[in-house]
Amino acid sequence: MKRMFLIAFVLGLAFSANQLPAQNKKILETKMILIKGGYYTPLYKKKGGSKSECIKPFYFDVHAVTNEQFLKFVKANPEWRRSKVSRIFADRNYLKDWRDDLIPGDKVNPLSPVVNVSWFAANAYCKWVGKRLPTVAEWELVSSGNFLTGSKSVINTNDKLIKWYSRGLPDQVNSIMSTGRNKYGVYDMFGLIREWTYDFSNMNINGVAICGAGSSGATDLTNYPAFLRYGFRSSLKASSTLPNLGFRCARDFN
Amino acid sequence: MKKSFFICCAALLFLGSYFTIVKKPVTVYSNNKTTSSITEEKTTPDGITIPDSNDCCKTIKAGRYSSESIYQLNSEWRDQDNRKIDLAKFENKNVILAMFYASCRSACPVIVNDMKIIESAIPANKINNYRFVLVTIDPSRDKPSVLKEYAVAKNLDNQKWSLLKGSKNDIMQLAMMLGFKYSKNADGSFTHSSLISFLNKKGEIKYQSEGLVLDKSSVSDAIAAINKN
Repeated sequence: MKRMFLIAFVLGLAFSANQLPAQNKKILETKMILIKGGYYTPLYKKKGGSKSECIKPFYFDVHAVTNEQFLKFVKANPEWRRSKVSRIFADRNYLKDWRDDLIPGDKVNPLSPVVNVSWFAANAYCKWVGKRLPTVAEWELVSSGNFLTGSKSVINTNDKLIKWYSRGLPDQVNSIMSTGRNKYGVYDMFGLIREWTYDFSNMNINGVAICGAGSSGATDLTNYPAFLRYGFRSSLKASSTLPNLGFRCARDFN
Repeated sequence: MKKSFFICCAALLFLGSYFTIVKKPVTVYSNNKTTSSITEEKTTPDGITIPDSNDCCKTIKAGRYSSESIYQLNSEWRDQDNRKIDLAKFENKNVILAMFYASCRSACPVIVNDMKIIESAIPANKINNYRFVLVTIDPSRDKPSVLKEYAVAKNLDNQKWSLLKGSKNDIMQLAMMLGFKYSKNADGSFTHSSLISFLNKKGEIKYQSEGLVLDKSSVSDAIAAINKN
């Protein structure tokens, strides 16, 4: 009888082993929220356009891509490992907080957003999971959900936001979903990391200077945090990597 | 004894399969759309697309090119004769490349004209080492036939000039590599940088001329830079 239970136990184990790939898949899946679209007012009006831009519906990841998720990506795509990546795609600080190519190490929280990744790496990751990077307009539209009533976000006023932006680089990034969700149901738009956007570099084509005279021609002079984001984005190159810069993905509605 | 064994096994089998099959699916909003860029992807019955873990997303080509080469980008383009081409086709040629769009009335004609001036400055016995590439930032309007018309109207030599159209993402990635900025305006025109890039035979950016004023000394500097190895 005892032996039979043992056999049965082994059989049971064999079945639970079946679930490993499912676990793998689960790590890569990030819940997405359908954002119904809306109007976004860029800080600088486009030539010949109206003040607001219409944004089509899209899906948006509820949280940023984590170290754990990014590890799956570099495992499957050797050219994106730290020792292999080409300098044209990522500067030399790429994944510098990880211990090794495939070992983030004890100091790196698997559930923290991955940081020190370039735009090219972020773009490739999103493509790999069948998604894309959100545009600046989409990101800004979702972030406006932090200022709506009923938002559970801890950072919901400009003052708090400016304080967060003016803080230096963090030693360690907290886990995802640790700063609350906004009206759209999306976590951590502020307070955790800054995020890559698909068209970040196309913000500053005519060389508009930020601060002082740069504010002339802006659509909303009181939105100082928006100026900070604008300035930050225009300081980046697509191969740049920073300890507080990560990303999340989006997808077209249809 | 035997009977109890079977019952026991059957119960476990049932339980095991229950947990494997009926395991609650993770909520993922998916629109069933698969991206053609991912090869051999697996689509689960609930429409979630997860790439094969052994598969590479093929965004970049590893190994073959120098770490500064733009030919590492795995991109696909159509030229003015509707031929499918990879940028790496221009390897072993000196390339003078600019991004533009055909219906552009202000900056682009100047850029194309500048490139023609560069073309005419190259000695006839060397010209076969050069290729002139125009990449459109307006893929929805600039079909290969439109690009062909443009090439004919501008009198561009079909042997030396390639006018390319790619996917939005390939255009964006190339623009990011060159440092070229562009943004579509509400009226369908684009605000964009004016940038001519000079690539050596390995596809490394050796010189860039920004703005709409091209002076002869900078052209000769640029030509010297791409010919130096």
